[in-house]
Amino acid sequence: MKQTWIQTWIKFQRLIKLLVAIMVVFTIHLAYSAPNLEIDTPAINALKSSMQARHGQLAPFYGSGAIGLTSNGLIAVRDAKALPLKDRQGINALVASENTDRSKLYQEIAVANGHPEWGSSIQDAFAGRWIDKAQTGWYYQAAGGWTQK
Amino acid sequence: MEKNILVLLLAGVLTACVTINIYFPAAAAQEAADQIIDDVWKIKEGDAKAPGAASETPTQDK
Amino acid sequence: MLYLATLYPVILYVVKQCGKAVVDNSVGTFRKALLFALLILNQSAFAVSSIEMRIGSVDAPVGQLKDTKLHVDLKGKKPKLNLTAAVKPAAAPDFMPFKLVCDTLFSEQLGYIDCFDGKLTSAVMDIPFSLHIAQQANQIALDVLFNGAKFSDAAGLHAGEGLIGDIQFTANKKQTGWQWRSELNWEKGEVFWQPFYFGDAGSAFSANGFVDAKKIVVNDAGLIVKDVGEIKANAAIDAKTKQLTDATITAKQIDFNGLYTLLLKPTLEKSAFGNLTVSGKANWQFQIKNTQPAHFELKLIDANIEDQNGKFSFSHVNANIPWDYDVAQNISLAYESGNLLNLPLGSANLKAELNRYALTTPELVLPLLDGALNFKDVSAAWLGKNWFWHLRMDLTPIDLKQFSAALGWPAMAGHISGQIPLVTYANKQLNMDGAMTFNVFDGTVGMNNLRIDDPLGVVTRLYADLTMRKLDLGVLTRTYRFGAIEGKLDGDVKGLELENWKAVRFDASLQTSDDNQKKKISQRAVENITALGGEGTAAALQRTFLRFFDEFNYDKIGISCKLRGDMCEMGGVTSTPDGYIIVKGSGIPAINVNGYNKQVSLSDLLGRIKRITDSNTNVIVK
Repeated sequence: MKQTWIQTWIKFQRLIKLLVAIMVVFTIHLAYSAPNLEIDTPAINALKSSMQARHGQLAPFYGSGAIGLTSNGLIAVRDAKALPLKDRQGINALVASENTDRSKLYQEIAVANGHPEWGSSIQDAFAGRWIDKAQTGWYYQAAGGWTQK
Repeated sequence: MEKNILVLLLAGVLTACVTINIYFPAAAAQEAADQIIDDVWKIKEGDAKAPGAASETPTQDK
Repeated sequence: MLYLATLYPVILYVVKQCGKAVVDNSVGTFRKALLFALLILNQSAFAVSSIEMRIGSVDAPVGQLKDTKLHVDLKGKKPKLNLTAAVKPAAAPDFMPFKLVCDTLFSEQLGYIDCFDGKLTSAVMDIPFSLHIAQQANQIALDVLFNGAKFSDAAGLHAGEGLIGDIQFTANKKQTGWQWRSELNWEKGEVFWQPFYFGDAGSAFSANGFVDAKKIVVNDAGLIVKDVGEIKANAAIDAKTKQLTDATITAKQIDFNGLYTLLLKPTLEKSAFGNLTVSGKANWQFQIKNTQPAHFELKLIDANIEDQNGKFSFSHVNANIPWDYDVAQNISLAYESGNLLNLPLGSANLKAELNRYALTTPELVLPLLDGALNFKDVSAAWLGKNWFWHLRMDLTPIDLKQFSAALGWPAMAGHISGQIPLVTYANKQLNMDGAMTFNVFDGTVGMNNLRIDDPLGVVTRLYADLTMRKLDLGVLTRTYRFGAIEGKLDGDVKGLELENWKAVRFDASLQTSDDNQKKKISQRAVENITALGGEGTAAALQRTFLRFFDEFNYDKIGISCKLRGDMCEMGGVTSTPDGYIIVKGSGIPAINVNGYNKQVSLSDLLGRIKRITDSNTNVIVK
């Protein structure tokens, strides 16, 4: 009777060890597989190069404060008056196409990683990084409205 | 009895596993964002050089 | 200019009495005040050194005025006028400070006022000007020169800068209103009036019309716009709402590029036609009735149109596109040549009927290379800012050699033909029900279930299933210079998905056709297949006695790839415990090519096809 109890206890200990081992292995596996997100798909690359090409046009407008980075990872016209008259015409279309690309980019990253529902979380992650990486002098939307970096 | 415990614990581990996978990989997303933003905004530095580089590229006649 | 017009009566109201002024809106008092004021100005010999007036507030139909201070300095040789006030135009929410200065004020003769070196400033404008006013019993004539004027609304969406020019304006009082005539010369400066931009001026405008309490009528307006041509217009504007109720705008033989840049592009920014380079001539007419667009007509004369994103272009376009809200119109569009997604289009003459927001036509023939796309029973509708199309399509066989050359593919012999019972385009998605057949390499490639998402957008996705039957490997391998393989090949590509024209998903399997006759593979082809796996093994064949054989017999060739993202799960004719067989030999000497790597990156594989590296395939000699 006693022996059975001991045997059971030993077995139980082994079991615990095994489980710990499984969990350790599993944890290691997790750590190793804490994966980089897949961002190298044709769709994401196409959006990236579209945005790269547009950035040449947008950069001076960030600099002059005509446009700024919004808190939700997009951009917006902040002050059209900061622009020469001739540039005011195209600015809305430029901002609209940039925002279309950005929204698509967030969604495509979510889709490329098999979680279409991640779109808005990815957008949030980007929102902070755009602002962090913005050049000094550029404007971004903060709680108190437009703020200059 | 042991088997029951085993099954329970395994079930626990498995359930945990499922839960873990649902979390949004915030750090990875930040990293991905950094990479993409660097690519998109880097174009500014290349701007000045681009036209010169382009003119050096031999043009091909068809 | 609105402000100036407002200002004029205000000045006259104010110059009523020395010292205090009580504003009176009656015309009688207005006259007396004017007379009095001019007397003072004329007879500056009076011992009056200055006139100063303060007025609490003035209400007029065009707006309000308060804290008005008028100062006329008579000390110098030339009188100076200085007026400050807070003004609130009828449409504005708040009062804003406003200042008018006249450094030189003349009024030599009754009813005539000259103001030189004048300046009108407020939060929204800064207008240096010179002004001449002639006022008679039933006539007012105004002549204003402005030099470097600037204005802008708070948002900067209606603004002008560096404006130099002059306005001549006369108005004659009639029983019910005023008959007016105006001429404007705009020599320099730029104006942005969202969404339109007029830069570098060089424009002239003349018009006459009638204005009463209800409406402003503009007749015979002629606008000569630099780089565009002459535009003529008639219009009626509701005096209260300032809304354009009726208008006819006509422009003949104008520069299409100017018309497009100035007037069409700003309204097309978000469409596929928002980024074009155009040239040629155009006639344009536009009619508004009761605030609604009623008629439109665009004629293009030998125009060229090119999308700057390179998606399409058309040259020598002649088009007649009338549109009427009430009556169906026949439209026609012809071009000599063009380009659609890199495919050259031949000369075409397209006709259709345009009925309000729907377009229908029994047939459109779009010559493409030596064949044509024949669209039949076309019907399209513009609903909720999107196009919806459906049509049937026949292909007049297109030479594949030219087709592949146009797309920069290796030259392929054969032709494309097919019939598609239904093509629909809705919500930026193109769907084909039915098969398109490519007769190629002496066999056929069928394309089924084609769907293209957002064909003209940044991220285009294409879905299709391909069925290949009896492709002649001899022709195929000669085309791709792969080393000769004789035999026939069948293949199926299921669930093909192209993202931005690159494959990201498919289940493909290619294998030797069943009823195969001659099955031979050259030594070079074996080497190349081997080399796809790796360099090290390529030479293996050379080291054996097999190097003396030019070609080998084979039983089967097969390769399959299940592509997900960039990873291909490979397979062959059959599986072996540790790999798969790509070429299964037969006869003596028999040669097998085995693959061992089950996961292959597609981009690596494609790279290897061009530049052979890495090692993973073995030649097994039996």
